[in-house]
Amino acid sequence: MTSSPITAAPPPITDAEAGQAAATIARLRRELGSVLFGQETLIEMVIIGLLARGHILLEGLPGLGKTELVKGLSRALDLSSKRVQFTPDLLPGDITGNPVLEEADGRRRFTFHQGPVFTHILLADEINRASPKTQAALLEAMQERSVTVMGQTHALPRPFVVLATQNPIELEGTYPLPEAQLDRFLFKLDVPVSGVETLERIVLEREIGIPPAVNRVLDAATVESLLDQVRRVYMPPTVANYIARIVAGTQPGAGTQPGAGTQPGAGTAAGVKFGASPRAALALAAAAKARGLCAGRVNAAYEDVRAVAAAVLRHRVVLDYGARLEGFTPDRLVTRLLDEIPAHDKPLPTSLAAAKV
Amino acid sequence: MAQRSAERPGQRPEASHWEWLTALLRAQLNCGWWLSTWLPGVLAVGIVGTFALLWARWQRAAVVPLVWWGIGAGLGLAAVVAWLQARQRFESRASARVLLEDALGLHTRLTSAAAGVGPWPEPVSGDDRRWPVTWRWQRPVGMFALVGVMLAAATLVPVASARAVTRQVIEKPTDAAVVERWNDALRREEAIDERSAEAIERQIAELLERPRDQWYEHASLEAASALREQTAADLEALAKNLATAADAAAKLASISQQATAEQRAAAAATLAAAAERLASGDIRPGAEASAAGKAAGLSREELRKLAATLRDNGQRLKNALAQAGDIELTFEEAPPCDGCEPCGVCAECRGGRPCAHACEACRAGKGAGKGSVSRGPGASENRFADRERRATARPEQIGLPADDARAAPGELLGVIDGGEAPEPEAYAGPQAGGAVEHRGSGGTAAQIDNLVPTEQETVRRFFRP
Repeated sequence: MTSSPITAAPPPITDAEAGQAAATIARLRRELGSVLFGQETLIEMVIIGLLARGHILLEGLPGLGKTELVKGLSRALDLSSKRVQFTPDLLPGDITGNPVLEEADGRRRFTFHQGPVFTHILLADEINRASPKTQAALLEAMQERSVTVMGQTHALPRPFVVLATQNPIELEGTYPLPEAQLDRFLFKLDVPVSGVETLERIVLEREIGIPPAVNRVLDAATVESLLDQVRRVYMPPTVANYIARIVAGTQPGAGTQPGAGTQPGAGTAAGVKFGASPRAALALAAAAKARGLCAGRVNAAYEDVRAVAAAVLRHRVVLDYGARLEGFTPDRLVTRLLDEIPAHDKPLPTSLAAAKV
Repeated sequence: MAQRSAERPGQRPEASHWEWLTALLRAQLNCGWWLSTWLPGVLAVGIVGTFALLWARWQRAAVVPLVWWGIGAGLGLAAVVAWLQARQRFESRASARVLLEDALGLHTRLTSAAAGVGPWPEPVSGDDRRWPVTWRWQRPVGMFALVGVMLAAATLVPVASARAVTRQVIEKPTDAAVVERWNDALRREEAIDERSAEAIERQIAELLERPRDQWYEHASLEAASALREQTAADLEALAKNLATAADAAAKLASISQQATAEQRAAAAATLAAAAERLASGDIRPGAEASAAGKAAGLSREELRKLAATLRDNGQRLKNALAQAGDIELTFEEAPPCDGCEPCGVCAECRGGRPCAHACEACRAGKGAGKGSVSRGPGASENRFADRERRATARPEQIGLPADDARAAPGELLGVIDGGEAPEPEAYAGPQAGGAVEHRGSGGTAAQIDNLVPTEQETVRRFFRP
């Protein structure tokens, strides 16, 4: 069973629906904020990723609350969640499930035993420690939202979200995700280290071994409804054009490309080996819509695109060796792109200057 | 997609407000595009107009208003062309709306509302409104100021008229003009024959054949000056020969019957020599005076008529030169000897060696070396320089040889320093108590004026108080 194809543009969401959805999302945000202290941005981006039907790759040091966030999310949404610790000896069947030979009614037959992937929220911990074959099995499930074993396709529950984590240290014996597989993740989020105030609050309000209490905010149907409303958020053509120019601006030699080259950011993508794919443009659009709904708006805006651009593009842009040697990072590239590519797609005449607002 | 409700009649105030702001921004953007496209045209018209103004003022002042009209028309044409060119880059309403909502942080609500999705945002007051663009006045103002300065400079900077320049260029050198004036006056008075007048004309024409811009070069001026000096010398010689011939004819007519044949022959020879000099001179007298060459065998009455004719020719010569000006004949005709007892050979005295038979008129004559008020102490032109003067006259400048015997004649002629110098023979005053040393004589000049008359004229012209 696969996702239903787009047959027609859904009707735009109404102002009232958007307001109601924003209120619901705000409740979810508050509930998650009570689980994970000092990570408001991370929580917001995770919610946006969830609403955009995307999978999220979290990168951060151990103990920063990644698992707690997933657990809290599943409890708040009243969705099932499972956690898989990826190791080098993990097999694809350990994730997707295995056919088991069983005897029933005097007959032996293979029965498919679902793996941990059959859940709403899957935490794939340290995904880069599994072998590429196992990674590929998970990534296929992420993309197709179904698992095929012995010729039988098994649909994954809806919604299905994978939150994978990566440890930026201890890279020996790991299998870094290939660029093509990284592209399957909607966001790559950096989990920042908590500050003193946050740590103080954690010390005061948490105890080891006692999970925090999380109230149920939504159920699966409501989540599905929210996902449907995100699709109905209006994407103005000018915002779509802005997204297209940003994605085109990540391409090597973007200064000569129409739409990007005419902008003041010509040559911004210097040092880029591979730019973002069209899937990145779709991801930007979906994330911008989700953020617009989070803000109670019926449309996506340039501000939404700017807010999610780094999370969408940072793992989709491959820098060349020289740029990396000079300390250039994808985040700096995205920042430069956003600075130099205006929402307005035409240059100003020389007798006018953009006001500093 | 639903149509934009704001464009319908009776639209909401919010929609009108934002649509008006969008139109305002669009107009500003399009005006900016037009201005940016027009400015190069303004500069081009300004440059062309500046040169056109300068040309018009130099060539014909009457064309200047037309040039101003042309500049105005050029600016207008450039504005129209710029408008047509800039139209391709004009902002659409949607594009201006994007700029406005992005600058105001409206989260694309204007575009969405215009598309019929969601309501229009609440109007923003002027104080809270952050206008997306600001004018860059420096560039257009600077450009217009530059063009204005150029046009003002082209209008105010002094420019000589082309006609004035032409008049200056075609003016003949002074010396050539003077000679031409002399020749015209002489021809009018019929004081010289026509062939001589034509010869002078030819010389002037040859002088002016050179390009006009070379007329005032040093060589041209020297040539004109030489022509003037040569002509003046020829006229001086003509006047002198006319006077001599007239005197000789008068004496031959009045010689007494008691005179010896030798005296008659001498008088006739004098007349013949004077007639020969008249006929062979560079400038010859009028046709009537040319009859002096046929004086042999003339009766007394015919000789008297011939003398009168020659004197009349000489008088017309003087009158013509007096009218023309810029010439001063140093020759002074001796009063006629008709009233005295003729000596018969006095004509030969004019060489500066008076004989014992010279009449009082001849004795009173002022020949070379006698000096006069107009000629200074009497030193004639091109005289030999004296040895003492050459020894102290910076010979390295004039290149005189140390040995006179080895000097060429030209090196000893008229090569002394110009200017005035104390006369070594002049009275120096008392030299010692009770004694007076006075080696000079009455009338001795205290200064020696070595300048020729033309040089004196030049000195007077330049040092005139």
